[in-house]
Amino acid sequence: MSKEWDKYLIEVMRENVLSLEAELEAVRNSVRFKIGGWVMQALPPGIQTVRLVWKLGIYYLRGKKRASAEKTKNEISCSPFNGHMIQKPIIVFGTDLPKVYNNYKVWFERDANLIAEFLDTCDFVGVLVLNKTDHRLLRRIERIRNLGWKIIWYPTRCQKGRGYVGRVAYVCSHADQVISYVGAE
Amino acid sequence: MRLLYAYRYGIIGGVSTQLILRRNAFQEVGIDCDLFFSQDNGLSQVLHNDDSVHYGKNIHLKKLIYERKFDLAVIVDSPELIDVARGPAYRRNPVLLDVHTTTRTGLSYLNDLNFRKLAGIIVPSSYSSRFVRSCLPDNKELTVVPNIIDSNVFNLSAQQRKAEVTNTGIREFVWVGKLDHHKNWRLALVYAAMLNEQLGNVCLNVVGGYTAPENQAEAFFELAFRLGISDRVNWLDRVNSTDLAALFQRCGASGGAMLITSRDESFGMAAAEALLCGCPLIANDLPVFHEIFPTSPLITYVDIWQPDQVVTAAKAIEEKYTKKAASDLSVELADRYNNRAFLSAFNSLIQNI
Repeated sequence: MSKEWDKYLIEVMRENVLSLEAELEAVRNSVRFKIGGWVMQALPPGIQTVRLVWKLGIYYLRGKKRASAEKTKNEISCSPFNGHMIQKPIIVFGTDLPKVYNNYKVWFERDANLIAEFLDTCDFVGVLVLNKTDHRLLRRIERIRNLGWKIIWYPTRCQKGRGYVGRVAYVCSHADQVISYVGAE
Repeated sequence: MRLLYAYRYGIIGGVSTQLILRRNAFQEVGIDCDLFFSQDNGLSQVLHNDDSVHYGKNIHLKKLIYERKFDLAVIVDSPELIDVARGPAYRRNPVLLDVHTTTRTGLSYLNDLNFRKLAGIIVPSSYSSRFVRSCLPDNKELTVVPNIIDSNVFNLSAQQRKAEVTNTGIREFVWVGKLDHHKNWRLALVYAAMLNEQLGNVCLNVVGGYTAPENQAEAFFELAFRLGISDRVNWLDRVNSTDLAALFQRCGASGGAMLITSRDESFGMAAAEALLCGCPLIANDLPVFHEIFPTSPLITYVDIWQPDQVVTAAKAIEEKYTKKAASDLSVELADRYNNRAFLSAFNSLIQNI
């Protein structure tokens, strides 16, 4: 077996170790662990006890704020077609639709989360046009393709950042159609 | 009799699938069984309008316990639910702890547990009992109650319909699990690339990772790209049982196999389901598999860190695979891990409570 594969195996082992360390760090950063540490610092009672109560108060308020934000998110309706059965709905992740497609009943959406939630619950098939990549949609495209959805890669925005090349390579390989955007940056 | 199974994660995965199978087994013999999940991580989308499945916080569980008056509660790896499941002081329910995890982190909660609150502890295999036993006081009993495998869905039947199998010339492999270091998903991608180089025309179906965090998802696409297999990997973040069975059947029929790169398993549900469908295994040589599976030409054990062994096993699949071997194994597994076997083990357990 060539040395190149050994390189990848070593990389996998290293990533596993990093994952374990990240797990340990998560435990150390957990509220339970921190509270244990604080309690040790707070005794015997003194000024440090006051500081502990202050920290607990801050955590409580942050927790309430986070729970409130999650509740608001869950209440957002993600039913852009208002429950109507559309023959061939088109969802565009972005703002640009290829000219070959009819504009009737198109949902333009920039929030990948909303599209993902919709794809998980809708009971019809359509066309998903991707102007850019997002991990939440890419992980779903093979699943929805098996259901009959058509995936179109229509890049209209130059994306940068970590992981871009990997995501583009994946979507190019798995899209039913790749359309070049005339006038892309 | 009224039973409750409670688990923290309402995620589409091995444990929740197992709980649904157990519930169905109980209901078939006239025993009421409800399921409770502290979180809904997508399970409700699969289990539409199911009255016996509940989601919510501890307060919702408390209300459920109060209203439904269960005779027994089984908590799966979720210690925070034990006190609630016991019910009010004037009407205590016996509570069993069902331990499905084998990771050190996952088992760490046992170190802080008050075992006097538990009527018993159950595990799905003798192998996993060894991990749990080391965390228990000497006088605490441990019972093995094996998992149920759904042979109504996972079976060879589609394989016999040859006309439906499309021969594309691609050998399809499959990997099932979460995208975490325990399941070792990166190794599966590396081997997919290696097998594609050695055997030619190979593709890998990665099933799972519906709730994988962003960094893991990005790492997946990046590694596939660096290995040159972006077009050879299909990520299916979640799959229903029927489609998964069809996928296993297709992989087996194409000359492929299921790759198991896990560092450990408590039972190996996905592996068992694959075998029921006639999909061979190339599995990390884990002790639990020797307990759960009989010897079969469809199962090849390898040291998952030895690429030569993996490639040799993949090359030998087509020679070793026979319809008779697949059929014999499918029948034996279906017999070992059916509803009857589970109910019998569970019945023996509750006689002693």
